[in-house]
Amino acid sequence: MLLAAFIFLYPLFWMVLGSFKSNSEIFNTRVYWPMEWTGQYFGILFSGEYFNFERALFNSIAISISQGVGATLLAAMAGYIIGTYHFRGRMTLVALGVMVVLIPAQMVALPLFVWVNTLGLFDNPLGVALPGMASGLGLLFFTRVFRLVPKELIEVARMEGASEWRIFLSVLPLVKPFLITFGFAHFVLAWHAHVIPMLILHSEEARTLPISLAALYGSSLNSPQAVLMAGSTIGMIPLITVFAMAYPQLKSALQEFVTS
Amino acid sequence: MLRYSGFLKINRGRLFLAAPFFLFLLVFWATPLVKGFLLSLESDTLWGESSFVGFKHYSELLQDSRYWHSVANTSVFALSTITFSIGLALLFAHGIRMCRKGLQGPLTFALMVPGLCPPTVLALLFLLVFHGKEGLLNRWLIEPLGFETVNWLSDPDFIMPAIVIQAVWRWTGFMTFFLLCALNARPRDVLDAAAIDGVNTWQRFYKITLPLISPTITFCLIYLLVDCFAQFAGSYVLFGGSGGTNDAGLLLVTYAYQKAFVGGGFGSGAAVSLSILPWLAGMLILVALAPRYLWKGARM
Repeated sequence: MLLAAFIFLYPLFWMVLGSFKSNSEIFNTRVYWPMEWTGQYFGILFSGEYFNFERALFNSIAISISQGVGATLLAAMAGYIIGTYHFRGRMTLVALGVMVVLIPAQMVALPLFVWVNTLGLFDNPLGVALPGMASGLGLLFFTRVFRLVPKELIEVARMEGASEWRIFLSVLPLVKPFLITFGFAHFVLAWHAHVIPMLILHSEEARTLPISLAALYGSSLNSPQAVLMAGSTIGMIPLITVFAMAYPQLKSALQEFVTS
Repeated sequence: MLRYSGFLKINRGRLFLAAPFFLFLLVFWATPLVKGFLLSLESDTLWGESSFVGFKHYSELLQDSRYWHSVANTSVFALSTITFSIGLALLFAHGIRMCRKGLQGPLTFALMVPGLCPPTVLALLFLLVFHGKEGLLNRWLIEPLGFETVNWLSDPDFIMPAIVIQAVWRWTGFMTFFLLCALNARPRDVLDAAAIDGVNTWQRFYKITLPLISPTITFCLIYLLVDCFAQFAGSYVLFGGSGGTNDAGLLLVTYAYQKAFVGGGFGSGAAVSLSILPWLAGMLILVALAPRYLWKGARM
C-alpha cells in the first residue's frame, strides 16, 4: 500500500521538483535533483512576465468559492423542501435533478456559451460562476440528507409556527458535515472546470489559473517549463489545504451516508 | 406524519426556499439545452442569418466516420477507465483495511491527492510521464522490463492507454475512499457467520460483500461514466484540441469543440454535443440495472 501511495504521489513530487529545473533538466528525466535550488522560476511567475499569476489565482479562488457556496446554499434550500415535504410534483422535481446529473455542463457548453453571450456576461466571471451554481447532484444529495434529520424535530417546529426559513436555518448545523462535503466537492469541480471558462473568459484579466497555465503551455515550448510547474505547484496549495481541512467532515458524512 | 399539500397551495416560505434553485436551473441549464437543440437544427452559417435545416446535421453525423470513431473512442475510454479504476480501488480499499489504523487515514489521503489536481495541470504533468523516449514511464517501467520504448503521445496504439492511465491515476483515490467507507459499513456479524459456516473468501466477497457495497459501486460507475463522457480538458492539453495521431485520442467532446470552434459550424457542433446524450443514457441504464441481474437470488 505504501508503494501504491508512493506511485500515486510521484508525478506530483516530480512537478514540485520540476519547478526548480531549467528546460533541459526537465526534459531529461535522468536528471533527478535540480542543479541548484533557486527560486527564480517562482520569481518569474510572480513578476507577471508570462501572465498575471496573482490575478489568475485570485480569479480561480473567487469563482470556485462563489460557486461552491452558491451551489451548496441553493441545493440545500431546495433539497430541504423536497426532502421534508410531500407534495404533488415532488417526484418530477427529483427526476429533473437526475436529468441534470445526466447532462453535464460540458455537453451544453456550446449553447451555454451562446446564451451567456446573449445575456451580456461574456468575459465576465459571473458568466462562469452563475451557471455553475445549479447542481443536479446537489439536489439529489440534499434531498437524501434532509431525510436523515429526525422528522419530529421539523414537525414540532412547524407546529409551533416557525417560518420555513427559520427551521431551515436551525436544521443546518445538524447537517454540517454534508454541507462541507458538498461545498468542497463543488469547489474542486469549479476549480477544475476547463471548457466553460475557456470559452467564456476571453481576456487574460478574467482567466482562471488552469486556463492561463494551459494557454502558457500552448503558447511556446521555449518558455521555461519550470514556470508552469511553479504555477501548478502553487495552484495546488489552496486545493490541498481545503481538502485537508474538509477531510474529517468528508469522512464522517460519507460514513453516515453509506450506513443509512 | 407528513402533510400532503397541493403543488400550487405550497406556502410562500417553502416556495421561497425551493424556487431559487429551479430558477437557476431554468436560466442556466434548461434554456441553453433548448437553445442548443434549436441551434443543432440550424445551418452552419457563421455570419448573417442561418436557415432552418431540420435534422440534417444529425443525419450527416450518422454517415460521418470521424463521428463514429469518436463514439468508439469515448466508449473504450470510459469502459477501460471504469474497469481499471474501480478494480484498483477495490484492491486498494482492501489493502488499506489491512494496514494499521494510524496509517489508514494518511494512505487514503495520499491516494486522493491526484484527484485534486486540475485536469489541465494533470495533463501537463503527464506530458513528462509520457514524454517520448525520456518520459518517466519509459525510463522506469518500459526500459527496465526490457521492452522497446514507446512514444505514448504520438504512437496511435498508445494514445488511448495514455489517456486511460491519466484518468485512472486521477480518480482511483476517490473511488478507493468511497469503497473504503462502504466496506467499513458492512455488518460484521453477517461476514463472521459466513466465515464460521465455512464460506470461502472468494465466495464471501462475491456473494456477500459485493451485493452489500453494490449501491456504492453503482454510484462510482455513474460518476466515472458521466465524467468520462464529458472528458475534455485532459486530452485538450495533451493533443492541443486535436484528436492526436490518426485521431486515436478523439473523444466526443473534443469533436464537438473541433466542429464548432475550429470548423466554425455551431449547428453541427451542437448536434454532436447533444448526440452524446442517448449514448450516455443507454450506458447509465445498463449500469443501474446490472446489479439486479448479477445477484438475482443471491441476496439475503
